[in-house]
Amino acid sequence: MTGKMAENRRNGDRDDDEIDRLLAHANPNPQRVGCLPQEVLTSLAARRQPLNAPGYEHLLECSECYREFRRLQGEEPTES
Amino acid sequence: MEHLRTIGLLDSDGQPFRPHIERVLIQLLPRLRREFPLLQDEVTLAEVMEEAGRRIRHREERGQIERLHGYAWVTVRSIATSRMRQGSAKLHQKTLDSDAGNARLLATPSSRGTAAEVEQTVLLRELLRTLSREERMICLWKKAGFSSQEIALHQRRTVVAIDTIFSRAKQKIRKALGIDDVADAPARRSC
Repeated sequence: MTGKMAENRRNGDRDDDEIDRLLAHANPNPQRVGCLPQEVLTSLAARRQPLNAPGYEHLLECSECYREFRRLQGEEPTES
Repeated sequence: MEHLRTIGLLDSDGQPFRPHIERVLIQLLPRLRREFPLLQDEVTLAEVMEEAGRRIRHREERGQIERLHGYAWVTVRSIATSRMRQGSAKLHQKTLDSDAGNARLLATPSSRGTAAEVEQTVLLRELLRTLSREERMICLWKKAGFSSQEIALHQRRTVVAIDTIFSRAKQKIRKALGIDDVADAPARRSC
């Protein structure tokens, strides 16, 4: 990713902080039921999976995995 | 209202309505606001107008509407009335009084976190549930870094439709979180 692309992405992310906040905290899954393996999260974070990959569905249901996914992207979700 | 003018109204296939339909709907916005003052949410207003647009387009497939303005207003009013009933009924069903709310919070299992954190989680979860599955997926794909074009191709929609859905989802969230949304610039096109 070029510097400009990274900057655009950071600006976009700041604009979408409320989405981060929502997905990072709305679905606590402390028992880690059905959580994704690390390699799948890494693959999703690197966008090596297609948009219809089932892992994305899980990210909508599990805040722990979503936070890890964002961490792997190099982004820290907004605090609740 | 200016917001609706700039964001544009979309048909079910993500395409703009024909100009004469969009024009009559935009003209009816002030009346809709005046006669349904509880419908202040821009997203709801857009949804009412888009549903009306779809019904008008569907009706026009059977022949030209003689008095479009009048027909459009009756359609808009009918949908708005229905929305008001749905909205108040849904709100009534989902709203707990303070005692029941406290009881629900106390019964929410938590191995850690303060009552305030648990309450925050419940609120965020309810907020997330107000988004449609498509809205949630588009928000997630955007956070994953996919472009509107990539998402549009996957969803078989237009880029404008994807940007509009994303923008409205953010609006819903910001409104629910009490975040001022004035500075947000949704997908814009001229009307």
